[in-house]
Amino acid sequence: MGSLRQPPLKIDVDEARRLVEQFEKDGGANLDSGEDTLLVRYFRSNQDPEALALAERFDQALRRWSK
Amino acid sequence: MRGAGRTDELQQRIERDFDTETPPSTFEQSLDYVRDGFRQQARALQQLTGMNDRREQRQKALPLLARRKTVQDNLLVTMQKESITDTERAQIVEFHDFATGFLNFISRELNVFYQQYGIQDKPGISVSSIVAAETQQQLSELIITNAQEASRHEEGLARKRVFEDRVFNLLREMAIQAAGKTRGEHLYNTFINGAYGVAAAYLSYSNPSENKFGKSFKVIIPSPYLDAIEQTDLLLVDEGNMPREIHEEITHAIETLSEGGVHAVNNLSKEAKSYIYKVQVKLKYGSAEMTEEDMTNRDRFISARCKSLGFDNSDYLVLNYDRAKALIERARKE
Repeated sequence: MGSLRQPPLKIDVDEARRLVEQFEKDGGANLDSGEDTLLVRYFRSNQDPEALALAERFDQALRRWSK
Repeated sequence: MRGAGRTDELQQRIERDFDTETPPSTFEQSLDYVRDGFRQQARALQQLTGMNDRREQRQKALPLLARRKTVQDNLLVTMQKESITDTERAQIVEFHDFATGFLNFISRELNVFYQQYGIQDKPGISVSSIVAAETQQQLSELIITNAQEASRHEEGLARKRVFEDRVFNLLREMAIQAAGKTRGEHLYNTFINGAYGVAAAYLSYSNPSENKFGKSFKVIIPSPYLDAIEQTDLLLVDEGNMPREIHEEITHAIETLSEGGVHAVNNLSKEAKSYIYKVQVKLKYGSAEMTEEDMTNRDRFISARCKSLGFDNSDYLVLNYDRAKALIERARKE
């Protein structure tokens, strides 16, 4: 009953996409650090083509908004 | 290649020393890389505090976020190397996740990256609070697991203790880099005390000779949602004389809870609830005597989080730091 290790908080591809799209729009002005954390963790745990494409979009948006 | 001006003898010594010196393993290099990366990020965070212009603050924070992503990308490449074992890979991920979660906690406490404190798209739920609660719980789990394994004398334990120390050292360094010595120490202690308190309480309730109820509870660290939203640090299940159907009902609720079903335990039947204790833990330095504030918090917890939701059993545990450390040390030796 209830192991010590519980599954970590994670987001699914739909939530990751929503956060990346939000980031593309506003440079993360409305993300909180918890969402940043979950997004970064999502990119680590998921290496499928869709996740890689989202990571690439996130990188590009980061570069664009950092200018 | 021979260095200019070096004698043959010197050159031979250099080559011999180089050959006999054990180079750091990929695992060690990866941990060092994570540590350096997060120390730098924490230092960068410090420059963002106290800025009034939120837009400018966010703009300046973006390279920091990019740095997090770069650290992660490089780690992913390194972790594909065959020279890393699965255990080492898991520890690198864990080390990285502790640092990421703690960076989130410091960011929130320093009011960086956080435009509308506590207001999110899901009413009543702040993602940052939940991530911080999760990281704190994972630290507790690390302490508990190592203590339990110490009592079983499992192999590789010394290395796990080294890892535990490394995690705590990194978090302390990050807090000081981000917030300066005084505030950083305070932030670190607040965070770590929560983890130590829950770990000590877990071990205490698991052992009938260490808790006031004299029972060996099944102790559950609930989902971080329950921790963040209801300030419930532990759930105790009194399995003695529990009917089978109640056992199944509670098992199902706990599983649902760990998958994010915040209300699963609150929705249990009245009879099932009678086997569950909700616990809030507080760890203090110095005396563990309850202050008036503690008593007010205890009454509020029992009233709002327990009785009003149908739980007649609860505990508000105040531990002092020395007792918590002693509890953990005793568990290591059992």
